[in-house]
Amino acid sequence: MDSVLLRIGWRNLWRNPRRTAITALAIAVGMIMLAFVLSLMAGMKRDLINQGTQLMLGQVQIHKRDYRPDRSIFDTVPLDGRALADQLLDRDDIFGAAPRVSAFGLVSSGDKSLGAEIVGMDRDAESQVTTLGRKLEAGDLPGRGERTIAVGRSLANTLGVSPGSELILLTQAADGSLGNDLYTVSGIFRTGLEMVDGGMVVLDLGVAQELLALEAGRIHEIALRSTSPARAMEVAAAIEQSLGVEDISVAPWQELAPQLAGWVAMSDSWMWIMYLIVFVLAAISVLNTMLMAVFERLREFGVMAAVGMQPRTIITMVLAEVISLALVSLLVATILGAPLVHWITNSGIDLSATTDGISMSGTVVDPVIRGAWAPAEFAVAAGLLVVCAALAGLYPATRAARTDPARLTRGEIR
Amino acid sequence: MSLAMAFRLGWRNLWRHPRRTLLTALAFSLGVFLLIISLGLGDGMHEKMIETGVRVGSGHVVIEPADARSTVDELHYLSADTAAAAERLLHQADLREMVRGVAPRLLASGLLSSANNSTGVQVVGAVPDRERGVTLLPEKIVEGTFLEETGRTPSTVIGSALANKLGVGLGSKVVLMTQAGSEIQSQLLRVRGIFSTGMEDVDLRLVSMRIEDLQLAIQRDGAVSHLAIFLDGSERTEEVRRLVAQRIERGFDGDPPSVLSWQEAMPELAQFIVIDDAGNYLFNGVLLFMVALGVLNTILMAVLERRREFSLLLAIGMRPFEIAAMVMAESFLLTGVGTIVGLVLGWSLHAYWAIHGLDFSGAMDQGLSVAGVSVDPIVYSYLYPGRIRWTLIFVAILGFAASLYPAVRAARTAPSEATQG
Repeated sequence: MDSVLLRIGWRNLWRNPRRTAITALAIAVGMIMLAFVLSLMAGMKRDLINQGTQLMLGQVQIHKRDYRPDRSIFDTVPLDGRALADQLLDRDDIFGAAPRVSAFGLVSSGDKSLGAEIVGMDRDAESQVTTLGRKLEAGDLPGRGERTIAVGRSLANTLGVSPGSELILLTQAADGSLGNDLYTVSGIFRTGLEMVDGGMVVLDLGVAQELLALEAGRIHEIALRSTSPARAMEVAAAIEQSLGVEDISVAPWQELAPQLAGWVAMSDSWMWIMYLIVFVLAAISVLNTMLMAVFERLREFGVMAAVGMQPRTIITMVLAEVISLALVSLLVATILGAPLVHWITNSGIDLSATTDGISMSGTVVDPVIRGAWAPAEFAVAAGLLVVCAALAGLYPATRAARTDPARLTRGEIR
Repeated sequence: MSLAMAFRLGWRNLWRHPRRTLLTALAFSLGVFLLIISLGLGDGMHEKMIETGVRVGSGHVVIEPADARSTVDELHYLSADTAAAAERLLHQADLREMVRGVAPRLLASGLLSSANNSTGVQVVGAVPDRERGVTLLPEKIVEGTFLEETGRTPSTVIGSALANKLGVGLGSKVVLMTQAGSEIQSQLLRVRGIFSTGMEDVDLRLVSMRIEDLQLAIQRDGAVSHLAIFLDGSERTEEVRRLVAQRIERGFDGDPPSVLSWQEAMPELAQFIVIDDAGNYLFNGVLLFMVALGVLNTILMAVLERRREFSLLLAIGMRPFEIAAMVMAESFLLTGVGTIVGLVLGWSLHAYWAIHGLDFSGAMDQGLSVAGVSVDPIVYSYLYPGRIRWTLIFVAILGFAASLYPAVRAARTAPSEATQG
């Protein structure tokens, strides 16, 4: 494009500064809203995945192939589980490996009892993978070898227990007997997930294995923490390959929590709907403004055509004006929008007055909703705006180029 | 100049630039259209979630023992007498009209085992006739019946996920271990029905049996945990809750049971709806603001290019406020046309989706849940009463705000401009 035409386009834009300013503002408001929503969605996506994987899930889990979804206590990993966990820690891409056993049982205190999941975990290994250990309201998770138990807040409420109280666990053990034992409550956790707070109790791994009549090497799952949730699929595939045991499955969080992956996929499709709406409205604004600008200057285009300017050149000139308008809108959007995105990223919207966290598909959404900088999405949005404006400008530009110089000389155009 | 005159002039002025007018009206109608359908889909989704939540939970309104939620020292039950008295109150004519059904339930928690596996469950003791047609489980039976058959062994219905986990089918025996008085007792049950709701939590954790069998198993003769009251839709929840609470307070001496709405019984779901609505309002507000700027732009352009005309009108004796009225009439008509078109289109699509539903299953193949309630992938559009009225008020205010500045500008045109050429 000729730089002279660009300059003319730019100058033409400012022949009616008020109109340009209003149009640019309308488009900028749409772009700011878009950036705001994109940032919020990126932030929520990040938080959902982090919360979902950090609380209990881990980014990758290892099981015996048949273990999920029935979780039978007989289906233990067909290798020495504790040794396998230690061995995995030698890998460069694994920062934590937590072996666990799990079973269902009846938890009783006095004349009250509840069915709950009993999870045996190693406190130190677990702290490298999940954040359950940081969700304690009182006390702590059971330490290695301690015959104590940690329970969720709602389970503690229902049974009326507090740290120091005693609980009886009753469960089916792997040798066919009824496992039955007495434990002191060591801590109470509160995660916000009713399934966990009201339906899970935690024992030390070794103590739980004793209750379930499982030998020290027999475990049900190993939860892993890798570099980032985004790499979980690769890491899972690599581990499965390096283990090379047919009967072991290594699954990333997307497979373990399909509902969580479903939310992420849905927020991505919602994003495209947002793009569509904002750009259709922006295109109408551009079209309207440019039509006005072209029709009030028909005389000028007629003169240009009369002195020999090519229609193609006139089109280029009008398009230069349109693209300048889009760029000015982007500039306004950046100047006004950056502080907004900065605010939503750093401070977030605090909804704790309305809620203390909502569980969505097995994950707790934090009451403070924060955004994230999403450079790729912002760039796509900016690029789409320019393309969209250029498309909307095509019709006014061709109209301008088709001005008939003869009509000008006949005085039909004022 | 009369108001009718202002509108006639305004209408003619609009059509001096049909293309510009149509484009602006199009943008405005698009905004109104999006507002209507997003409200319809939002309300439709929320109403469906509420319905699913209350039908799988404790009803739109629930009568439960006082303090059931605040103290934890004891399990709370309504005695048989209290439950019967409360039910009699619900049979009064004015309430019967609004209430679709009342279901007494007894809740217990226990461990359900088969030969293969065992798991913790929530047991709901129910009266089958009272559940049918109102709650979700009888509708979602995929094998067998909902507690219709009886036999020597008490019947139970379980979820499909639970049946898989325990490795049991229709006719299998399972053992329920639960607290009975001060000790733990085992009760043999026979599976006579399997349901599948699509909600993982429900299909894996919920078990239903006849209320009299459960009363016997936990040794609580005649006890009821709550009375679930079901309405035809969620709108009249508060009205019914208030009425029932009044009657109960008058009808009981001493300790009356408490009456809760679904919002109080399921606070997490209620909060989600408030937040989701707020997000929708924000989105629609910004969208319409963008559209209103478009209207401002168009009207302002129209005003600025007609300065000569306005000054001429002033010169021949028209008063400034009359010119302002004319410009505002113009903008009112412009937004009015846009609103009507948007409303008609939006309402039509809403009416279509209200019957046929909009299928989101492509975007959410895994099934989603919020606050323990599944989100149905097919959303039936629904508008709460008053939505259209508030939309119109909001749009009118926006249109008015967008026309103010151009109107003032037009009225302040100097009469000398015309004479100066």
